Amino acid sequence: MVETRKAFQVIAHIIMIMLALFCILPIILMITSSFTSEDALILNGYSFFPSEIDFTAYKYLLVDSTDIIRGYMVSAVVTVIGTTFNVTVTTLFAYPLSRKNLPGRRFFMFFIFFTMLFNGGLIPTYIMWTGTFHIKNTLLALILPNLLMNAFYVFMMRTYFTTNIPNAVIEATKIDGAAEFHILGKIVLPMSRPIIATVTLMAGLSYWNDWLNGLYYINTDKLYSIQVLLNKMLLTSLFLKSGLGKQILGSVGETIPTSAIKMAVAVLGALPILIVYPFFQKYFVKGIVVGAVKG
Amino acid sequence: MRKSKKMLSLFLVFVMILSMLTGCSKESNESNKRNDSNETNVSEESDASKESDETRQDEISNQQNDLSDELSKQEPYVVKIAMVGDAATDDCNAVAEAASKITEEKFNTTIELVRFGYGSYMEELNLMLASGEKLDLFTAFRLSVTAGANAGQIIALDELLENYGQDILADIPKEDWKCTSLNGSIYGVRNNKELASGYGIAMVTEILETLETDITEIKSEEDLTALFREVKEKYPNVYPIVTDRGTMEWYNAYLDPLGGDFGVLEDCTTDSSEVVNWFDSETYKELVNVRHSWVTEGLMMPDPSTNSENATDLLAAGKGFSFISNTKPGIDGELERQIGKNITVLEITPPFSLTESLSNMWYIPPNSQSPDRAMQVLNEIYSNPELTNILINGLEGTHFEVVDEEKGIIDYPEGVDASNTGYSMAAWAWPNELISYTWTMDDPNVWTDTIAFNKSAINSKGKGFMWDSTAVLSEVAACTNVKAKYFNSINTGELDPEEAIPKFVEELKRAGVDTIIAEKQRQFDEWLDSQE
Amino acid sequence: MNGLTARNNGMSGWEKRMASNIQKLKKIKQFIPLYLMMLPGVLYLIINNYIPMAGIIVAFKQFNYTKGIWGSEFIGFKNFEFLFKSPDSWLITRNTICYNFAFIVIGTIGAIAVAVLLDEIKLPFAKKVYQTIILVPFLISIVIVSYIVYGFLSTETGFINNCILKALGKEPVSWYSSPRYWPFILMIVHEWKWIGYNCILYYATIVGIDKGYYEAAVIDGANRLQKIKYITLPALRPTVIILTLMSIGNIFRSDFGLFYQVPMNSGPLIDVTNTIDTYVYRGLMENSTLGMSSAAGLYQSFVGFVLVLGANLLVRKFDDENALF
Repeated sequence: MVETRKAFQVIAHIIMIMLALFCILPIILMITSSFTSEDALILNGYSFFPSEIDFTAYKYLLVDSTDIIRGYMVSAVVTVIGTTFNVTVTTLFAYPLSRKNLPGRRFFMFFIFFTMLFNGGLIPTYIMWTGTFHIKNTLLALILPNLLMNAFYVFMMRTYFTTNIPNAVIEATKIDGAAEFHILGKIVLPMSRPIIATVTLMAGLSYWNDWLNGLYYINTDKLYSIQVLLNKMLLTSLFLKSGLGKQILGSVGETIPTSAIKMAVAVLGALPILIVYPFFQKYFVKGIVVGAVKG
Repeated sequence: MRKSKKMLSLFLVFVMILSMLTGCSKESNESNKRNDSNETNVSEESDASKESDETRQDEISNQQNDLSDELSKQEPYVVKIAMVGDAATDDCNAVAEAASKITEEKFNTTIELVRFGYGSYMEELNLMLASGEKLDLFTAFRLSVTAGANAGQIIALDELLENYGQDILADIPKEDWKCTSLNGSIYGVRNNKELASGYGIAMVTEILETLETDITEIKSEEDLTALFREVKEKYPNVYPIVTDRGTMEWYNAYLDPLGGDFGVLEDCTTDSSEVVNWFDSETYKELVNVRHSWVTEGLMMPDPSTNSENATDLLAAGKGFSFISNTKPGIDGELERQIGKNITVLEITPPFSLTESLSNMWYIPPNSQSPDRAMQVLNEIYSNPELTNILINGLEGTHFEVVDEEKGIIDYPEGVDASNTGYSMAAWAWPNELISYTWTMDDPNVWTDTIAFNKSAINSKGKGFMWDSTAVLSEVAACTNVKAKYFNSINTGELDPEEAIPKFVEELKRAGVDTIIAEKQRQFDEWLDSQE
Repeated sequence: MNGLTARNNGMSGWEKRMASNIQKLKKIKQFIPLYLMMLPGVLYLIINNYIPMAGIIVAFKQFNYTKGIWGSEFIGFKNFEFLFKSPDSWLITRNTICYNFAFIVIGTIGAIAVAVLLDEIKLPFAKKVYQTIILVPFLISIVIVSYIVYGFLSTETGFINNCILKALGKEPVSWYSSPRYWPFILMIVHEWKWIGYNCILYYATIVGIDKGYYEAAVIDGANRLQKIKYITLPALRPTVIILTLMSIGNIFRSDFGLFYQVPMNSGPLIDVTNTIDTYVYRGLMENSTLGMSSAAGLYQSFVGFVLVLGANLLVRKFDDENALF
């Protein structure tokens, strides 16, 4: 018995290691090219062993670091606030949907699902938020449009509630006369740590990675998040290299970010998440054994 | 008779401008000198008729004074301008403040300036236009007159120009106005810059100097082959010719795309008015056959259509010797700045001018609450060197420093360069770069050279024709997708034209290219008739 | 029951109705807190999604910026023509559906496999490390990914040609001019980017399974494979169904970055990588009209919607609980 268990462990580890290598090697390539000199990049392409090491990309980005630091702060604030709201609204919406006897349950599910498919487009949403609510160039513009609620997360949470929270438990508490909010807070949530952690993580990622809100709703550089900075740079360089851009390239008093700089900014953009992620993982712990249910 | 009357009124207007500028403004000496050196071409002629018109001149300048009096007493208003090129918000605000000092005095109007990055300019601009946000003036940049006018994104400017745009009207000739009008109304004010294009080849000077082939004999792309062979012999590690990010879309031919979307004039310097499918034409076949021969002989870089580097980067790294380039005054300097080496640009196709050559202009959107003010400010930017210098180059001391007062040459201040300046310069995007400073890296005569260049250009038969694609949008979408499949591969010579072109043309036909060409021919004939 | 008692009590029709209404109200009253919980979400969706949805009408109009959404001319289905008139119309549809189908199947299998493996691994440190590493690709923007792919596949200097093929003594391949490899390349890139993210949800679900079931199974003599087959997988079924249904809703959509940037917009690859989104982008690049791009989006939404309705009905037949709605 112990032999096969160990053998299985070894196989599992090998597979995971291969997968991890598969995932990480291209990233390593990206990192090494962020400190390779531009000439070496053109002559030899991206290499795991750069022929010419050169930190100009990082110097360029971090010497004038006020932009980057402010970018991080904006990203951090927006992500924390946005994620908190998102998870709250999602949980509050998903829990009632998980209660099978709720009248109109299917209607509400359809109500939210419909929004996943049909969309009025950027312009009406933009007009709504800027014209009616006047949030342009404010921090709210990075939090409210589109990201505050996601049908996907709602369905995931609802599914988790219906699958993993046995109805019997809820019924038992109700017989004791508990209110719904109480049930949600004291019974359901503690049993749902993994899904809450999941939604928090996913919502957090969607806020951290978002750059469209910043692009459309903000044009003061005081409120640019780190992703907006990165993507503006990428868009500019993509454009200036394209057909139309070529004609104006020479007369533009702007430098095109080198490949190294682009890689460097990608590294800087992803780094904070990698630092924070391990803290989330402790929530993905085996849940409570609800022994009383299965007799 | 009519012609001389026109000339007369033109001179009078120039004289008026001169008197208005010296009389009403608080300009420094250098801007006066810029004006003078700019108008050397016309000043001699105006001198001759000056004495006989003195009394009329007084009368007119009196009228001007009255008008400017009136304008400075208007209600306060803010003109919001949208412009390309990322710039720090603080710097934009500072520049707008400095610029406002001039416009406040003249028109009691303040300027507000926003700048959007190149990659997202159109999206951000469209949002502003669609949501009805405040916007009074913007640079066209990728929005054609036909598209903009048809979609109601821009307003007609005729009356506004009459009332407040006299300087602009005086400076822009009739053929140019045709290129920014639709159905008889003017919609855009075109930028004053190089308005034509020639084509040729850009080469690394260092290598060129060691070669024996006589480049003065080169009159077509085919003639380049001998030169490339020599480069390959002497420098086996350098590609004689490279592509620019997988493209080679400039041709050494007198091609007029007639507004784009298929259907061209094969040789626009002739009198032919036949609209043809460029990809099915003899000229095109010849061109790409030559290029294909470069590939088969090993003179072209390998995998030319999938190269992801800029041609300039390849030359800078020493991987390439040359690439097909456009020509205009100052192109050597521009390329040298990007490449960091000495570059020789050989012109193979002399400059010619199309409707498309006037690709940059300024519009007023329907969002503007006071198009009058917008036009006043636009006119001022077009004609006032002091104002335009602030808007183009930024603040003296912060973004630039004057190096040569007399010639009007500037450079970055200590510690500032293109990568860290807070206000990036995009002179070509503002209405009139020809009256602004020149940078040290440019030729000091680049503006006068530009004027001469524009004058020397051959006008295409199709110049002034405005193509409206509304009726064939579906076919255009389908054909553009087909074009994407073959365009670069054939242009760079990678595919054998004997096989690839027939396939390409066949697919285009199935996608409806003949419908597009027929429509374009119809519109073109109609336009030609209306010109007579 | 109620009706019987009422009849027996000799109440009038009106009284009967009142009685049942009061019963219903009492019933609903207990649900008020639940409705209250949903209120913030409902409000947000109305503001952010439903009211702006009126903008869909632009797909049927010749949008004029001066006249605005309501004042613009109504032109029926004209904006949709370009999607169907092209000789490529079938090709782009086929590409989009096939890729999405492959992504759904392979993506789900891969994510579940990884989640199960992760769960089986005992060392907590190893678990954390693996999980973090496989998530990293998700964090990298697709544009940067396209540069990295170029770093591998570029003909002259790419890692594959330069190091791997050379070492094996094979001829370099001109990847960006060879369409037949690209369905596989795109799938690999897509999985690379998404597997770490996709497996999180499955992993969280597995972790939430009541341990009691496993213990009972062990007592009954089940081995590892049987445990997975009879406990883990069924527990994942609701999640799989929901995710698949949602993916069906998006079956006409595609990741633009993956199909346009990663192949570097290379001509020869277009027939194999052109999806509805990239076709619309290429076709409207020079002549963007708001009406036509809206029409394209509406077309994608509508088809997805019809398909989901159908799929959902099917699911309701077999497994009512886990249907979308």
